[in-house]
Amino acid sequence: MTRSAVSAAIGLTRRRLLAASAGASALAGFGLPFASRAAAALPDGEVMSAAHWGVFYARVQGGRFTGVRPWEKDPRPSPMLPGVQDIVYGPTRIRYPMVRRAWLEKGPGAAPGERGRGDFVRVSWDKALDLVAGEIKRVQSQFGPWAIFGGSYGWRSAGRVNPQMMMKRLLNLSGGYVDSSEDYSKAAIERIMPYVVGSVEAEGPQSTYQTVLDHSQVVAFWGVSPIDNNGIANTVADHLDAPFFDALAKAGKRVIFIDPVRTDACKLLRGEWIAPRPGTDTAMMIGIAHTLLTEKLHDAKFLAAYTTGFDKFAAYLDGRIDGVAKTAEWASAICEVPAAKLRDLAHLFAGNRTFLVGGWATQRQQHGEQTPWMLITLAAMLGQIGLPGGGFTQRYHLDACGTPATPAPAVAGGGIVAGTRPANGKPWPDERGAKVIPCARIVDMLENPGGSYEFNGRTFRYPDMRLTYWVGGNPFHHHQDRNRQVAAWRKFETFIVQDSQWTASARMADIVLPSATVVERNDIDRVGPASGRAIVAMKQAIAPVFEARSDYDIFVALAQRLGVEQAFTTGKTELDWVRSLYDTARKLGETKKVPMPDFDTFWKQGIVEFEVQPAAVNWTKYADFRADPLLNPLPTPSGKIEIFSEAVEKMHYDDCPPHPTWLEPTEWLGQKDGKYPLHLDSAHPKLRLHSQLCNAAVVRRLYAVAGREPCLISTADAKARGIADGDVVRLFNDRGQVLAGAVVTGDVRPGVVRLCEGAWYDPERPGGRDTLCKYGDPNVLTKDVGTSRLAQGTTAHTAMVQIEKFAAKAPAVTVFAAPSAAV
Amino acid sequence: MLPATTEICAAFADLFADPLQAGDIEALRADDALGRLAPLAGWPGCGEPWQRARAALAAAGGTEAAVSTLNAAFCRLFLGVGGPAQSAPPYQSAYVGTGRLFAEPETEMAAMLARHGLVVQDNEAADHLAVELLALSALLAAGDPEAAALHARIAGWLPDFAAACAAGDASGFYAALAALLFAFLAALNAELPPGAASDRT
Repeated sequence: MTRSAVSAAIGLTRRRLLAASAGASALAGFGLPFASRAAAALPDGEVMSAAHWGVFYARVQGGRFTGVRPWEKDPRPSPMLPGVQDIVYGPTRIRYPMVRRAWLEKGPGAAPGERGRGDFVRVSWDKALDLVAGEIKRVQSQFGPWAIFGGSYGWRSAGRVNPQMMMKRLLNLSGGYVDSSEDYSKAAIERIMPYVVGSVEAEGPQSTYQTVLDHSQVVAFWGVSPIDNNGIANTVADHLDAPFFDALAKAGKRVIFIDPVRTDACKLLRGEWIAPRPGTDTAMMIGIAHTLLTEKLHDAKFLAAYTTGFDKFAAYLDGRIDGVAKTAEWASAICEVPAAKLRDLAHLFAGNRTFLVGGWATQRQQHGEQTPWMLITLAAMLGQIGLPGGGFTQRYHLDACGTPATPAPAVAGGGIVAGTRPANGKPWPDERGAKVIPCARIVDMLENPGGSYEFNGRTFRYPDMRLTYWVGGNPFHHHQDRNRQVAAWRKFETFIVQDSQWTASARMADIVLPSATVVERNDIDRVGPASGRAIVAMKQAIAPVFEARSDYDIFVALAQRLGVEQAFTTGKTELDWVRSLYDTARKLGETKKVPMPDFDTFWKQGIVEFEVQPAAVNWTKYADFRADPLLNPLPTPSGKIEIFSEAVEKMHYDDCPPHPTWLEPTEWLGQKDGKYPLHLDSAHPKLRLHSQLCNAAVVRRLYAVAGREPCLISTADAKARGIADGDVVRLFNDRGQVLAGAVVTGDVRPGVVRLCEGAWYDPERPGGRDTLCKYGDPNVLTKDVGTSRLAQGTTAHTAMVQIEKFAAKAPAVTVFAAPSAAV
Repeated sequence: MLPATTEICAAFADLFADPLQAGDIEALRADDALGRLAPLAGWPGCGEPWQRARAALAAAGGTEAAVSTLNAAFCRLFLGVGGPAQSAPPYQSAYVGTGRLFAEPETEMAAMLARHGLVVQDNEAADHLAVELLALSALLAAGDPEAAALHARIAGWLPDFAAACAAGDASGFYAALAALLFAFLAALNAELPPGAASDRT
C-alpha cells in the first residue's frame, strides 16, 4: 500500500480539538460542533471496587476518579493502592489504537527489527479491529492454529471476567492456537511437587497462623520475603497476614531468615539473618540433613511411616553413592555458612517444634526442583509434618495463605472459558508441534521451530510461529535474557498487544489496542484467595478515558468480524458474565449451606462477607495424613511423601535426579574461573506487582534512586568500586547492560546485588543488540535456560554480573536545564 | 499586539496536536523557514530555538525518513510510548501534584472553555497543550481579557514540559519546538495589555 492509500484508509486528518458547544454562543473562529467528549457521566460519590492491592472505594467527582480510600476492614492497606489512580491517569496510558508504521504500510513481518522505536500510527477502532481480525484469519488460513501463539501470560488486572480467557476463547472459535503452561513464579515447585506429595503443594490454604503462634518454637524463613509480597494477591489482597506478623514479632519465638538480603520481615521479627551464597540452599539443607542423620536426630519412625525412599537418599547423604559424604563441612564449603552453624541449625530444628517456611526464590534458579524437594525431605527428617506448628509451608509470602479459610464458595464457575477449537477445524497433525509449551520456553520455541525439547518426561516439538496476541501481560518484563528475546521475537510476523499501559511489550508491538482499567468496567472477585473473606462487586466508577474500551467490548467486536459473535458471547453482556459468576458461586454456596444474597442485592451492597468457622482457625496441613496415612494417603504412587521418586528416575534426567541432590549451577559465586564476580538477585519488588505500577510516579517516588530502579549493593562491594549511595551504576555481563541507582547497605550479603524484577525495560536504542537499559530491568542480565528438563521453569536467579559506577553522562534523566530562552 | 500572534498560537497547537505528515514536513521546510512559524525568526529571544528547530528538521533526512523519525519522537514524547523515562506528556496535569492526567487543571480548563461556549472533541483532555494554545489563539483574536490568564497558565507549566522534551527527545525537533514556544510566550507576554502580566507562581 502506498502512503497516500494508507492515509486515506485510516483517515489521517488533523484533529479538530475544539468546537462550539451546542446552543452556546462561542468564540469566533471554530467550526461546527460534532460529538463532544462527555459521555454520560457516572454519578458523584464513592464506588467500591478492588484491585490486586486490596478492596477500596473510588471517589468519583464530575466523572473523574479523584481519590482512593481503602476498605475499612483492610488491616494494613497497601502503600501501592494509590497506584490504581496512576493506572487510569498515568501519562503512559495507551490512548488510541495504534499500528506500527512499517507493519501498516508494508504488511505483516515488515521490518521487525524496527520494533520498539515508537513509530506508530493512530488508527480508528474499526481499522484496528479489521486488522486484528484479518491477521487471525490470514494466519489460520495460510498456516494454521500451530502458527498462532495465544499463551498470553501475566497478572492482568483483578476480576474474574478474564480477558485472557476471552482471547483464548476467540482464538479457539476461530480455529485454535498454541497455548502455554506453567508460570514464571513457581514452575519448578509445580512440576516436582506432584512427584513428591502428589499436588502442586504451594497453593491454597496453608497451616494457619494461629498454629504457628500457639505451637511453633522455631520459625525458619528460607529464601522468602513474607511481608512484602503479601501486599498483593492473585485475586484481591486481604492483608490478613498483618496481624500475624505483628503477633509473631511479639511472640518471642526464635525466628531465622536464610536469605541474601536482610528483609523488612527479618527486621520486624528481629530474626537471625543467615546469608548463604545464592543458589546453594539445597547444599545447605543437605548439610543440615547429614548432621541429623549422623547424630541420629532424624525421626526414623516418621520416615518409615510417611515417606518412601529415604534409604536411597541416606546413601547419597553419607557418600555411599558417590563417595562424598555431604557433611556440614562439605555444605559449608559450598554455601559459606560455617559448618558449626549448620550443626547448630540441625540441633535447633530437631530440638524444637520447627516450622520451615520456604519461598519461591530458591526454585527460580537452575535445578530449582531440588530445593523444595529437599525442604520437604528436611521437614520429613524432623518428623513434624502434620503436627501443629511443625512441618513446612511454601506459600506464606503470597495471598496471606496462613489465614483460616471461610466457607466462601469459589468465584470461578460461570465465567468465560477458553473452550475448544472446532471439531471440524483444520487438521492439526503432530508434526506441526506441541499444542502447549512451557511458558518460559517461548524464546527457545521462536529460535527452534520444529526442534525438539524435553519436558516432564516426554519429548515434544516446537511449533513454527507467525502471530501472537498478548492481553494483560508484559513478556518484555517477565522473560529472561532480554536481548536474546528481542532478537528472537522477530520470528513473529505480527505481535498484537491489548493493554492499558505502554509497557515495554506494547512498545514492541505491531498493533496496540487500548483497554479499559479496573475502574472503567464491571467485574467481580474474591477477597483473599486463601481466606475467601468476601466477594466484592467491582462496579464501574468512570467511563473509559480517551479511546479505551473494555476487553469484552474489544473481543465481541473481533468475534463479529470473525463470524463467531453468538458462540463467543452466548448472548451475554459483560455484566451478564459478572452475574453468571456470582449466581454460580451462590449455588455452590447453597450446597455448602452458606447463604448469599441474590445478585441484585449483592451488586447494590457491593460486598458479601463470610465468617471463619472456629474449626478452621487451628488447621494444620497434612494433619489428616499424619493421623491416618492409609485412610488419607497423599496422591503419590506410594501414597506417601516420596523422597525418592521412581517416576522421576524413569526420566533419566541428569539435571533432575530421582532424589534431592546438590547440582552445581552454571553461574554462582563458587564457580571456578567465573567471569563476573557478583550474584544478581532479581526478587519480586516490594512496591510493585511485578511490572505493574512501575509507571506510577507516586509509588515510584517511594523507592527510585537517581530516577532509576534501586540496586542494593553491600558496603564492601561498593567501597571496592568507588560507588556511593545514590550513584548511577551500570550492571553488565555477556548478556547485556543496565543502569540503576545504587543503594549501599549492610542489608545485602557481600558478593550479591539485588535489582528487582518488574523494572520497565527502557532500551537506549530499541532493537539494538546489547543496548543499554536506562532504567534497570534485571532481565536484561538474567539467563534464559530451563530449571531442568523436568519443569523447564525460569532460572532468573542464576546470573552473575559486574557493577561499576557509571562515569559517562547518564542518558534520559539529564538534569533539567531549561532551554536558554525559557529561563 | 503583533498581528501574527493568533496564527502562531494556532500553528503551535497543530504541531503539538498531531504527528507530522509528509505534507506538513514539506510545508515546514518550504523556504527553510518553519512554515507558519517563519515570523518567529525575528522575535526577541526566539532566534536560537527557531534555528535549532530548523536544523533538527533538516537533519531528519528525506521526507519519508523525517515522517518516520519525527513521528517516533512524537509518539514517544507525547503519546506515552517512551514509557515513564522518555515521556513529555502534553498535559498540564502531568506537571502538577501527583502528575496524573485529568487533574484540577483539566477541570479548570474545561470550565473555562465552557464559559466561552467551547467543548473539547476527540476524547481529548482540556488541558492538552494544543487545546490551551487553540483557546489562547481564539481569546487573543477576540481581544478577550482572559487571554492574559490563559497565557500565564501555559507559561507556568511550559518550562517543565520543555525540560521533559529536552530530556527525552532524540530527534531534537520537539525539544527545540518547546523551547521556541516558551520564547514566543515570553515575548508575547510583553505584548499583552498592561496589568495582565502573567503570574508565574
